[in-house]
Amino acid sequence: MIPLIYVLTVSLMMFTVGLYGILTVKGGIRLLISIEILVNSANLNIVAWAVNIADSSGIMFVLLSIAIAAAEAAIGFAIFVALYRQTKGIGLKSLMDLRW
Amino acid sequence: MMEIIIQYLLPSFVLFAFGIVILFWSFITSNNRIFSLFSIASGIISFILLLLNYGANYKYFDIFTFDTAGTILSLLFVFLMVIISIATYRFNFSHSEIFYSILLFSTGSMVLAVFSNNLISIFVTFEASSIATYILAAYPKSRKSLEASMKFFVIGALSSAMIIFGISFYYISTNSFSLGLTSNSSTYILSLIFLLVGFGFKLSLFPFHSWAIDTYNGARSPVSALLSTSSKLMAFAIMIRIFLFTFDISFSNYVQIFFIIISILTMTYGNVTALVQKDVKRMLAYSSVANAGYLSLIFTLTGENALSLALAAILVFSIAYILMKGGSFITMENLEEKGTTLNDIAGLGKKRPLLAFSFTVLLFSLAGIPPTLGFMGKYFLFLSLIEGGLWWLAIIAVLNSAISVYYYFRVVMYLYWKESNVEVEKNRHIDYAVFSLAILTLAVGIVIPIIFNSLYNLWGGLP
Repeated sequence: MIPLIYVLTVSLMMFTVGLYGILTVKGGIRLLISIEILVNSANLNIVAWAVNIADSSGIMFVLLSIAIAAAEAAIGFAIFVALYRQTKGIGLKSLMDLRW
Repeated sequence: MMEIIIQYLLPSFVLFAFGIVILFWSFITSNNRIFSLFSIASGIISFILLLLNYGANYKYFDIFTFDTAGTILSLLFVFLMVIISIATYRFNFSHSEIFYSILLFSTGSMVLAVFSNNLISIFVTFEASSIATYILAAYPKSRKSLEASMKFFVIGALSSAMIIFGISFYYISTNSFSLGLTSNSSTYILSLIFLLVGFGFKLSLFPFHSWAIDTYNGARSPVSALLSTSSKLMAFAIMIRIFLFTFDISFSNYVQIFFIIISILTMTYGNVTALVQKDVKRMLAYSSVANAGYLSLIFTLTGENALSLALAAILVFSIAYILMKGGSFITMENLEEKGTTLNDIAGLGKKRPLLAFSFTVLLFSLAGIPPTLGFMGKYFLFLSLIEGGLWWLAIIAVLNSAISVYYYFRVVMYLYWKESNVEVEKNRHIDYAVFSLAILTLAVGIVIPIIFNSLYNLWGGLP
């Protein structure tokens, strides 16, 4: 079995990659990918610990969280598609109407 | 066991069921008014069912705590939903069934969320209502509302990732998802930080507020009314259960100092930036950031007396906040087509006397002028600060409240003492909705000092 600390390190690295993506990326789809990476890093964290202490509630939580992340991604894509019809692009630079 | 839990879950299940009925009814007709009536009817049924549960204190394992404070908050959410449905009775957009069914779904999840007492149920109900509100913010699919929804979605998804990460650290340090457990490990502190950032985004506390301004400004006004009141108070109730009833036991000093800094920054930033706004809707968005600062004052308190006073005061503040902020945003809906700048609302007192009068009452309440409910909420909240020994924080809060009087009164001045030739369309339903909120603000404001003693000790789930 893989030692726990390796799994947690990988999850922390995934979190860093996802956060970096959200802060720097300029396109809509890449933003969604970064969010997915962020959510999955936390899921990996929980699943690794649930296996480690042999507790089923952690695994149940991850199932729920994957379902919710899927719903969230679906809504995100719907918003981006609607936005694409309006602006012919989903680059974040085109979204600067709402400013003071 | 099963029969009892059904009784408490029914108010939100009624909303879900009517949401599905509305979706299927759209095959028969696409008349907006019928959907609006469905939504009002489901709201009334749910309101009555919640009233029947009033005063109960029932724990379903550690998943839900059906306490009276949660019942009061969910009564407010359902009430606001009914008011929004009345105000949007004459909407004439395509696919309005989506608007109403998602409105019902989001309110139903919020009702469940304020009762949740376990990180699993908190996460699921919180996310259900968040996902519903992303769709609501996009609603008529104009460019402005889509941009607002997109910003809301990105920040919301980031905050939910932060919340799962915080939950994962909580799970690692305590081996459980139940609230109220303590641990001395460093992962416990990490979970505190991540959960704070995650819920801070939703409550629009200072460094995480910038999405809120754009979203409240860009979304359609009834949706902004929902986002800035119900959605925010839901996150706030969850934060009370997490931070006050869980983390406060082991780290009361750190939590206290952290929230003192954050609440001062949030109040001051919101109020000072609202001073220079020319757009009334944007001004209301900034003032709702300032109000989030007042709300987060409760986390700075320690000591049993001060805390029990503050937990009662926060209920009064929540009632006031939902009535006055919801009403102000719904007023903006009437002006949405022409623009919501100060010049557009000038002379509204002559053109629409009833609406202007109600809006004035709500603005007085937001500013905290004595006979109204807004004054009572602020009074009891600041009193609990003095009771807890933080009198200097109370002075800062009162000064902030004094700053806010300026920008609310400027709007009142434009309503009555300026002239403009902008035509305003007549919409009776918005008049009635806002007028009923204004009357309630005055009436409840007079009743609250009498019944305030009965608001103590309503929060269940205390360790």
